[in-house]
Amino acid sequence: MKGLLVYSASEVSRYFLMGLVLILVMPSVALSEVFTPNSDGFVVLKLTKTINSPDYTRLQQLQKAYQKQPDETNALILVKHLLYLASQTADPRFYDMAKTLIESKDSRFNQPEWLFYHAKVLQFHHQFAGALQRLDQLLTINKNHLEARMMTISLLITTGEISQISNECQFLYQNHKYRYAEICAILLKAYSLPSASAHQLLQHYATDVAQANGLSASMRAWALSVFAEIASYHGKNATAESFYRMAIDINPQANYLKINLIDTLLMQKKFNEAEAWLDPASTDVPQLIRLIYIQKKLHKTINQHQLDTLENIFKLLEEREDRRHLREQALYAWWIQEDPERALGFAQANWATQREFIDRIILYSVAMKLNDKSVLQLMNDWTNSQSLSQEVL
Amino acid sequence: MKTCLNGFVFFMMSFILMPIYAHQTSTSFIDVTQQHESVSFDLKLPVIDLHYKLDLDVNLDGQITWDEIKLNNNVISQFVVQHVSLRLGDSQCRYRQDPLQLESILDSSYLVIHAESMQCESTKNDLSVSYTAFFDMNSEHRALLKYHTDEVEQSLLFSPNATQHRLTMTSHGLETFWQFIGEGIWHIFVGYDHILFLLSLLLTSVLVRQAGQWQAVDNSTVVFMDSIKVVSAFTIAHSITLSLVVLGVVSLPTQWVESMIALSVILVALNNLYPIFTNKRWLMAFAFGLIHGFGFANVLQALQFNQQSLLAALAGFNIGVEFGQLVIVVLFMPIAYVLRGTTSYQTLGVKVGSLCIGVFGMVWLVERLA
Repeated sequence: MKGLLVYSASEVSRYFLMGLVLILVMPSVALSEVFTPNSDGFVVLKLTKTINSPDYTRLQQLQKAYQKQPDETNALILVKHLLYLASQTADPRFYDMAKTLIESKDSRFNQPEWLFYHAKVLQFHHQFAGALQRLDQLLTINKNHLEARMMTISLLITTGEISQISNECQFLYQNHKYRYAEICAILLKAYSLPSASAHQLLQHYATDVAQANGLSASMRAWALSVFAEIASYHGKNATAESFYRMAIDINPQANYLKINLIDTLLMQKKFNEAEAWLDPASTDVPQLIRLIYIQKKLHKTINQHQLDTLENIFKLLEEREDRRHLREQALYAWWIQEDPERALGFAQANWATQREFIDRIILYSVAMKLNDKSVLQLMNDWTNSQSLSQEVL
Repeated sequence: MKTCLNGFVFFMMSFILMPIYAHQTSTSFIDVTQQHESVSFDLKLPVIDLHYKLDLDVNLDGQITWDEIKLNNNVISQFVVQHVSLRLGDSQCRYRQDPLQLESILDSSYLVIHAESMQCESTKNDLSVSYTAFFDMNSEHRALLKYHTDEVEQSLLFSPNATQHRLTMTSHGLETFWQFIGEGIWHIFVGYDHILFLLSLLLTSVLVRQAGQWQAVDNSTVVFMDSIKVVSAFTIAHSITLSLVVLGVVSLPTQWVESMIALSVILVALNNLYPIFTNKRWLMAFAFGLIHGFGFANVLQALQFNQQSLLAALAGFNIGVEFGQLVIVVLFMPIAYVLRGTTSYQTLGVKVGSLCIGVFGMVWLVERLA
């Protein structure tokens, strides 16, 4: 019975004493963090870490131009530059600034490019329904907008509205975008086929897609990542892994592909291989969660600094009432805190907007752990409502 | 006192918000401390946001130095005055800003502006704070406010839709206390495992084991004392663990606790059928009471309450639980005492009753271990 206890009596008393010592020591540590630099040359902030000078100068110019003449053209150029900066720096502030600007004008501006950018920022802010609405508006104005069409497909996969993809495939055929239409049809078919047939279909087309002429690298990598997502859906994680590796070869900069590959490796319990894909010095939340999870699985010493960092990030998110990171919050509660009840709360809230492979895995695992049949039924209902073959989890 | 309070503020802030990844979302922090009409605050603004707003890189060399911060001192002060205001009652508080300082919060550079309000000309004590910095540039920006007085600590969030908050000086401790008495009572009446555990213990309080049989106790004082001992042991035990868990001293996995509670129901029922502890049942009540305390703690922790009212919530919940128990004892014991000599009580009541309780315990145990 003692083995079942998380803390033995001696550990409790030891931690209690350690806690007391910490309480006594911490205030002085914390207080030392507020300081007055003793040199005028003290560097408070290196902007070059975030944004380079030409890009910043351009931002200032565009902001001034917009302030002088706040019309649609100047706003659009400024938004475009902010989104460029967001992609270059990964600083969410630029997405946030773009969103603020767009939403201050949204009701007045409705040209396709404006709607597309708005959909992009909404996607970043996990407001998928709003993003799909903007894309729908855009495609009503210009049904040939290929990027919007493909982004719609991507969002429908994210939100688990797979059955609606068929409309997009038809539009692609009608507009003679045969390569795109073919990819669209394959993924739709692969979702509904039985596992073995779907696996065969995806393997048959994967190399073809990887080498397709006329498709951009990011498009080919995205298509392969969707193939991988469907392979995982059918329980073929080894195949999903190979597709993600192909996608990363094509687009090595895409962080989401690496995280998806790591998750696929984790599903196969290839912890050492997954660890090799992670940067041990990373301060990025998805990476940190996976780093600590792997440390736990491999019975390594947990990096306390990384653990504290994660804890503080999630505390801040909760204090900010930020709902953008429900997937990570669920993963953190499930993998790191090992608190299935808490994880279920986040996973269910996340399920309302995101239904990708990792989202389904979290919800399914937690519901199984808690024997929550209503959640399992909910997932089953989703499979049936989308006319998909039964998922192998 | 004030220094201690400030120390506590910094400690709490630093404990909650230490290192974070490079690109955190845009967040400011405001610590407001009030003692009567004297109000001070520490405003912590992200340097990067200030730069995007006020353009602090004077020499355009791609870095912001302390010298450039000092050069922009007036602009920063004006920005603060423009976007952060305090009102005490109906009077706008003017404040004096101390020299700027720096702090590294969540791996990001923050400018710390400590300000003391000059006496606000109002007899009213309700303080309100408004904050509007950066919202025009970034609607996702948030400011987290912590408000401290000698009596209360309050957390509030500023967003574009909530740019003003009224701060409450009075403690909500009493309100929380009463609320949690209700929660404690409610939990006892919906927590069937606790009720059955207690009833199982009380079933034999009116009996004595003699020659391998349960016999009715003649003396009401003996019954009364036995009930008191059992209930008190259970109460003391669960109060200990409930407090230890809620105060963060100890923690056990929920599934394990809930399973052990189910097991305790089975064991106490079995003890009625195949007695081992006949005279010192209060020891069982105490031992298992420790486990039940963990269960109560899980319920209390799941309820929403302000951390500053923790003691009030804990005391209220505990008293509520005791009150709920007392109601069960008061309702059950007179009936048990009257019927104790009847065969139906000793067979149907004790044997069949304990068997049923044991079966319930088994079902819960299987469910909770699954």
